[in-house]
Amino acid sequence: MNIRSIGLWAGLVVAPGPALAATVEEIARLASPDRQKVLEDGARKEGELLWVGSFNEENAKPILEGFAKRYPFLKVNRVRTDSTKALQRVLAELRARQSRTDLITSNAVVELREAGAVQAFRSPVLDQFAPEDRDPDGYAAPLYFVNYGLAAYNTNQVKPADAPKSYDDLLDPKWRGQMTFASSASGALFFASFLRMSWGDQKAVDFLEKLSKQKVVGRTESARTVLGMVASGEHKIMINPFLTHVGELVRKGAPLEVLIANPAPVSSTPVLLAKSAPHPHAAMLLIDYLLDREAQGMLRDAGYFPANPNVPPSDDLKPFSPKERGIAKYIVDDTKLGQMMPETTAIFQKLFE
Amino acid sequence: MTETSFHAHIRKPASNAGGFFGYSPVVIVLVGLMLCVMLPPIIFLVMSSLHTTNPDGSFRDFTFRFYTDLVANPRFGRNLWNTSIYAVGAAIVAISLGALQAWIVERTDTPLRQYVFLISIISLGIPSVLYTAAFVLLLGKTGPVNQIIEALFGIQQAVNVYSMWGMIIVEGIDFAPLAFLLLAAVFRSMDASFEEAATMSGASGWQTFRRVTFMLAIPGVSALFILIFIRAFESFETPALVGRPAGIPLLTTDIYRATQVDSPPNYGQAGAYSVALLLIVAVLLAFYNRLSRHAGRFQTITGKGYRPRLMHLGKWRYLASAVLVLLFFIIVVAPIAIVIWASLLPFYQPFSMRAFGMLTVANFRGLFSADLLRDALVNTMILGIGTATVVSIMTALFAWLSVRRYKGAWMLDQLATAPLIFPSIVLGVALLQIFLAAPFAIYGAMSSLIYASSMRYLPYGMRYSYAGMLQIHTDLEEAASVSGAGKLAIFRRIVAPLLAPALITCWLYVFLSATKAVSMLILLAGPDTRVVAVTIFDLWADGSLPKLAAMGVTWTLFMACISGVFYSVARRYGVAAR
Repeated sequence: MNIRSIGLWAGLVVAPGPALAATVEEIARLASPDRQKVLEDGARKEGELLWVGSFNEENAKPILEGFAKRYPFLKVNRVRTDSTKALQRVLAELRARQSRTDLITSNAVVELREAGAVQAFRSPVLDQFAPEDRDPDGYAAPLYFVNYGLAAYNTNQVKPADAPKSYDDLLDPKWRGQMTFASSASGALFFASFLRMSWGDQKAVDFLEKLSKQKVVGRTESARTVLGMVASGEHKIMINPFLTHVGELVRKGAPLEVLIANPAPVSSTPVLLAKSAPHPHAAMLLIDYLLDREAQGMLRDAGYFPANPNVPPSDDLKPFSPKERGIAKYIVDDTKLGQMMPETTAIFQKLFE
Repeated sequence: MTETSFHAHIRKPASNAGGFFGYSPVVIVLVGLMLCVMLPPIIFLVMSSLHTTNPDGSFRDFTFRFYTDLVANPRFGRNLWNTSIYAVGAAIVAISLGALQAWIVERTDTPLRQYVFLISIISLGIPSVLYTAAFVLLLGKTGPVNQIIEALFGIQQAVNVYSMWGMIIVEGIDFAPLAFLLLAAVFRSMDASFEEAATMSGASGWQTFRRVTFMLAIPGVSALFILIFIRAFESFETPALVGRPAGIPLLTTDIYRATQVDSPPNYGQAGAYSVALLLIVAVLLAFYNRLSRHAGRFQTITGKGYRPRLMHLGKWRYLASAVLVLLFFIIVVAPIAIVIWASLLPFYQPFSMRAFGMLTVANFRGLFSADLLRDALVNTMILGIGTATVVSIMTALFAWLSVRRYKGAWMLDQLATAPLIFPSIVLGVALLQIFLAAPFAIYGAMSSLIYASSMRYLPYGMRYSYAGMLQIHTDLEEAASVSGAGKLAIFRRIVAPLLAPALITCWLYVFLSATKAVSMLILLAGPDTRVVAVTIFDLWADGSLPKLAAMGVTWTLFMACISGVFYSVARRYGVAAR
């Protein structure tokens, strides 16, 4: 981050809000005993809110229905985008001083923070969460976890005895041209960043260099589709699969097994509050709801790893949970990840493209 | 009409146009309108390419870095070379397939030919990502093509889709329906008397085709070539789904990363690239304009009965039918079949007995119970109809004015073609910025979506109208003019009806394309203007291929019904061909 952007960011953070009842910041940080009442009263006047970002519509639907049951006076408008397009929209609104967005689900936490587009907030529900799962600065709260495996393989094509057991096994010449990964920010670039983070640059780059000789096929389809291509036999091994996807496909009968590294990289899909949210009361009510047991239970039923520790993953997913396998978690912080990304991209581009 | 007077007219339409300095007021107004529409995003594009950005996306420092990066990139030469081969190859494949179909359908008495139009329209209804994905499945390692070859000849993995050939073929087939529809308009309105003259002078069928039919089609074909070339040059889907796994880098590989992977997106790099493309396109268009300068030679709809006569193929017509059936199979049946197969599986697998045991309709059930389609359907129809209507009317006017060479009308063609080179995501961001800054509430409104997608599809509409317009001889308009009709009356009463078959196709093409376009709409749609594209995106981004396939099958079926109804209504009122 350069000096000017820090200045801009700081300027936006301390800028006084509108002279109305309460600023977004005050509402976001409410801690008084009557917080719930203040939020509900405010939300009643606001009447609606806008949620922009990732998270698929089918799974959002029951959650929004549950929310509507609890707060029938609120209408939740939703615009479904991916992380990057959510960022683009929010920033464009910010530049034009025409903020419409209240709630954001996007992994572009660093970018949103640097642009001064998001407001740190406090939700009492977060007290249930483990300290390491919470953003120390309070900008992002995890909606659900994304646990990664090291390699998923097709059990019809790869015998358990031959299957890779470690990072180094991926460098075995017999896998040359047989492996694939999703070449997206949450795929191969995440994998490379995680290695740099946990091993240090020298070891990580050395490993990636060797891996690049293996002719790993980079694919631009979504991670779930790429894993589907391993299940269908198009590739034998997928590096860095989402464990939720493995669980889902195995439940449907796909011939897949997965190797989970120790420690296993874990990231999350974060919920953020827009700095200039026009409906901050309503947004805070939705944030509380999303993090609490009811919505988290629906996430579990939809096959996610819930972020709330009071809601364990579903039985289908348990065999693929690092925790159930006694594997330590390595929490990959979105802020750190975002800062590393430009350099990771450069390394990756040089080695794999 | 003699050759001399004809050319005199072509060179000097302005003499009877009046207006300012020989510019017709209609041209001035339209150019002004187009400049208002086109300039803001172009300015935004150029500015982005010349500035670094702040964290909030606003412009920071002036720089030429993105241009020097573009050229200094050691891979630039190689990527440009790959891209050129790919784009030329795709254009050749698409035009060969399209021309073959168009000629058989429009110029011969081959049985079954009347169904090709409808079939092409159906294939346009298939969401693009799904169409490309279908070919990846068909030609993949475990795909049916390789399965069949292995079963028949024992050769394992004979076809490798992840190659330059794979890319060219997939992209070429993708554009074949566009090529067919455009060329059908060209062949349809060709005056058969030239071919008959050739035949009577002793030319063989092949000679007639090569020396007469083909030559007459040159302006239409070259315009189409340029269109497909440019489109392939900046296309994302095939390079991403086929080229990336093949390890074949194209120019768009870097742009793909700059706009889709880098966060925040690198507008500077994408902008510099687009500006470079803009220049290349301008050169190509200038070249094309020279080529079609003598457009008079190709005008084939004259005052005398212009309906072309068909060539009698004799027993060869069954071979021609077989060719049509084969192409139908490649372009429509095979991809749709594999999509249907995918839509019936819990997760995608190649054909096997075990897979047959797993077939389910669960993917379809979720589709409707979730209201996902229903909510967006009305919006999508408004978007499609609005866009197609705007594009058809505007391009009909533009094509008329520029084919008749009104002074300055070439700018209309250029301006209408310019949006072709915007990567849709760059255009999306430019428009987002403009809509937010607009003094009236347009951000997220349906009108903004129609505006954006009209812009996106103007270049295609332009090609349909232009190809149709080139075939219309000036003598009918002259007759009307001599009889005292005004410019707009001539357009409305003479040009528009003669252009109707081309316009109908244009309308359908734009309608079907606009309703399935995804990436730009994701950025611009608001909560109240949810469109089906968002559902397609949702399913694609979330990676449920079987569910996306189910959605694709339903969508294709629905669009086929709509197109069928539209086409038969158009036919009833005598505006469609035949």
